[in-house]
Amino acid sequence: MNKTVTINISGIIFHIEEDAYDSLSKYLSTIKGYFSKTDGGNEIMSDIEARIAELLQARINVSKQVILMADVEHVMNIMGKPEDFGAEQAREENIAREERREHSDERIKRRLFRNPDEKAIGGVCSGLAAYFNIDTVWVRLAMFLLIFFGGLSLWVYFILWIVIPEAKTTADKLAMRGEQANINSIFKSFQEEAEDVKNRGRRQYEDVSKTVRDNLSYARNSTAGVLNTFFNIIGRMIGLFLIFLGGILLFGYVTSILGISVLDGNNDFTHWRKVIFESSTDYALGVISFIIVVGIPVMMMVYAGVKLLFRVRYNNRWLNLGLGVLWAIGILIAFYVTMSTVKQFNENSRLKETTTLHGIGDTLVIRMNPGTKNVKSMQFENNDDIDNYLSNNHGGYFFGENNGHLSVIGFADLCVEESNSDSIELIISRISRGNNKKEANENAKAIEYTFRQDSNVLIFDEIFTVLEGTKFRAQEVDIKIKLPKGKVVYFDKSTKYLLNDIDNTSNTWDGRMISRRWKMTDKGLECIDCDGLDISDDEDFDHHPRRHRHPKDQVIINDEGIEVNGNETKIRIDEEGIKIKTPEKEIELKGDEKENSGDKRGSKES
Amino acid sequence: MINTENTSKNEGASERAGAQAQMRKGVLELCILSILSQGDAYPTEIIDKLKDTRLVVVEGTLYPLLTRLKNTGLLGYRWEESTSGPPRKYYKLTEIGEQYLKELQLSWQELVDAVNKTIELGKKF
Repeated sequence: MNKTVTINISGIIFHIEEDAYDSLSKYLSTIKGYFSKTDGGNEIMSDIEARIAELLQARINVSKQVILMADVEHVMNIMGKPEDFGAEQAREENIAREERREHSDERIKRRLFRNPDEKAIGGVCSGLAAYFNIDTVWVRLAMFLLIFFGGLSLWVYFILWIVIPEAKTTADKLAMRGEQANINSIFKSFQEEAEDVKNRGRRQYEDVSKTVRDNLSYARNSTAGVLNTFFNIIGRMIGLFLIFLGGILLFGYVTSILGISVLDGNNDFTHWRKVIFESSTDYALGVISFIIVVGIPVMMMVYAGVKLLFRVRYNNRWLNLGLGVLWAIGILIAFYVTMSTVKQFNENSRLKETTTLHGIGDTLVIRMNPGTKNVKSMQFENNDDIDNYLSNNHGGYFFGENNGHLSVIGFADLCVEESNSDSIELIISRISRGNNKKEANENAKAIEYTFRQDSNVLIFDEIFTVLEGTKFRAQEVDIKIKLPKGKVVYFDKSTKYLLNDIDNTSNTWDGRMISRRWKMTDKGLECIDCDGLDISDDEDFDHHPRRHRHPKDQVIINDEGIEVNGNETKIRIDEEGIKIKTPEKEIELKGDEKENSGDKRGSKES
Repeated sequence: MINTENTSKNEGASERAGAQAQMRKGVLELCILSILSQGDAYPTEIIDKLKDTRLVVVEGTLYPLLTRLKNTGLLGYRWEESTSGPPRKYYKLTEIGEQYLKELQLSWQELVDAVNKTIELGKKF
C-alpha cells in the first residue's frame, strides 16, 4: 500500500504516489531553476507544466487513476533531462546578449509606424491597427465613415501619412508590434524611481541615532496608516455618492430613451422632432449621439463608483479607450446634427403684403379673433388658457389641429406706425428662416394667416398656422398698420396680447393701450380718451423697472405751499390751511379759524 | 580550436557535443518556422514532426525556443480547448515570421551550397 498525494498541474487534478510526487517536484524545481533568470521564464514553465499535465492525463484511465513512478519517468524521458534545458538555456543567453547588442533593449517598445506590407494607400490604417492591436478592418471602416463628417478623416489621414514614418527595417517592423507602453510599464518605472528615492533617503538617515529613527518611522507609519484609512473612507464615500448620483442619472437616461423610442406617438416631443429635424436621418443621428454622449459618462460614473466602493483594481485599458473613442464619435455626431439643423435657419425671408384700406372713416377699430376659434390645440382648451400663457410668455409656438391637420402654431404681432400717405395701409409680413433663400421663401409661404374687414373694424386672427408638412423654421407674422395723421385707432379689449411695442406719446405699455382711442399726431400716437385715467404704466413695475416710483409719491414744495404725497396718505399745507388725508380719516384745519394760521396769513401779506 | 589540442580528452568531447548541439539548435529554429508555415500547430504536433526528422529527441528544449520566437514577434499564438487535458497553445507564423523564414531559407540554401562545395573540394584531394 502506497500513500498518494493530490496535486494540481496546470489546473488539472492528479492523484500521485508519494515517491513519484517527490521525483516530479524535484524535476520541476530543477527546470524552474534553469529558467528563473530568463525572460518569459514563467511562461516557459507554465507551457511545460501544461504539456506534462497532458502527458500524465494520457497515462491514466478508468481502471488506473493514480500516477506511478513509471509514469513520471515516462514523462521525464519525453521532456528531456534538466541538463538538456540547460544547454538550450546557455544558447538562449548568448542569443539574448547578441540581440541586446543589436537593439540595445531586448524588449522593444512599441512605436507607431506606417505598415508598408499591408497598405491600401499609405499604410496608415494598418500601422494604427498594429499599434492598437486591433484588426485593420476596423480602422479602415472608421476612416471611411469619418469621411462623411465633412471629410474629416481625409485630412486626418493626410496628416498622419506625413507625420508617421514608414517601417522600413525589420527592427522598425518589430517595434511596430513591440511591447506596449502601458499603465503597467509606466507604473513599473514609477516604482523603480520610488525605490531609488527610498534608498537615497535611507542613506541620509543613517547618521541619525537609532531611537530617533525608530520614533520617526513609527510616527511616519502611524500617520500613514491614519491617512490611508481616512482616504480609504473618503474614497468609499465618493464611490457611494457616484453610484447614487449615477443611478439617478441612469434612470433618467433610460426613461428618456424609452420615451424617445417606445412612446413615439401623439405627444409634443414627437411633433417637435418631426418639424425641427430636416430629415429622419438627422433625428436618428441625434438620438444615437444622445445615447452615446450622455450614456457613456453616466455609465462610467456608476462604474467608477463601484470600483471605488469595492476597491476593484481591475482596469480594462481597451474598454476605456474604446469608450473614449466612441464618446468622441458621439460628440462629432452631435456636432454634425446641430450644425445640420442650425443650417436650416441660415437664411431669412420676409414676404410683405400691403393692402390699402378703404371705407374706414376717421376711426379704425382693431379687434381680435380668438385663437381657439380656428384651432383645436392640445395645450390650450380655451381662450383663457391662451391668455394665461401669453401673459407670461411673449410669443412662443405650440401644436394644434387646424382643419384636421396638425400644424405648428404661433402668435401674430401688431404694431401701428405713422403713414406717409393719406390712406390707411395694412402690411402683413410672413417671415421664416430656411437653409437658403428659396427654402426660407417657401417656409414663409406656408404660413396661413387671415384677417377680415367689417366696415371700419379690422378683425385679426390671434394665431397663425403653418401648413402641415412644413418644417418649423421660426416662422413669424408681423402686422403693421400705417395710420395717417389725424386718424384715430381704437384697440378692442381682445387685442391685449396682439399688440407689440407700439410707440406712443405717453409711453404706455401695449397691454394698457386697449379700450382706448389713439390719435396719430405729429409726435406719434396720443391717447384722446384717457383724461382722468391713469394711463401711464406706473402700476406695471415689471415692464419698466426704471419707472418704479409713483409720480404722486413725492414731496412738492413750491409757492403754493407744501404737499406730501404718500401712497395712501396725503398732507397738504397751503393758504387754505392744513389738510391731512388718510384712508380712514380726513382732517382739515381751515386757516381762518386758527390764530396761528392768521399769523401765517398776516406774515404772508406783510 | 587550437586550444582543444591542449585540453583533456573529456573536455574536448563535451565541447564537440556542445558544438553539435549548437548546430542542431540553430537549424531547429528554421525547422520550427518551416513547420508552422504549413499551418498552425501546438508544441506536441511540432515535436512529432521534428521527431520524424530526428532533430529533437526531448520535448523540453522546444518550449524555451518557442517562447523566445514568440517574444521576438516571429510567432503568435492562440488558446484552444482540448478534449483531453489542459487548453493548448496553438502557435502561428506572423508576417514578420514569414519574412524572417524566407530570409533564413535563403541563407540556409547559401550555407548548404557553400558547405557542399567545400566538402566536394575536400573529397577531390
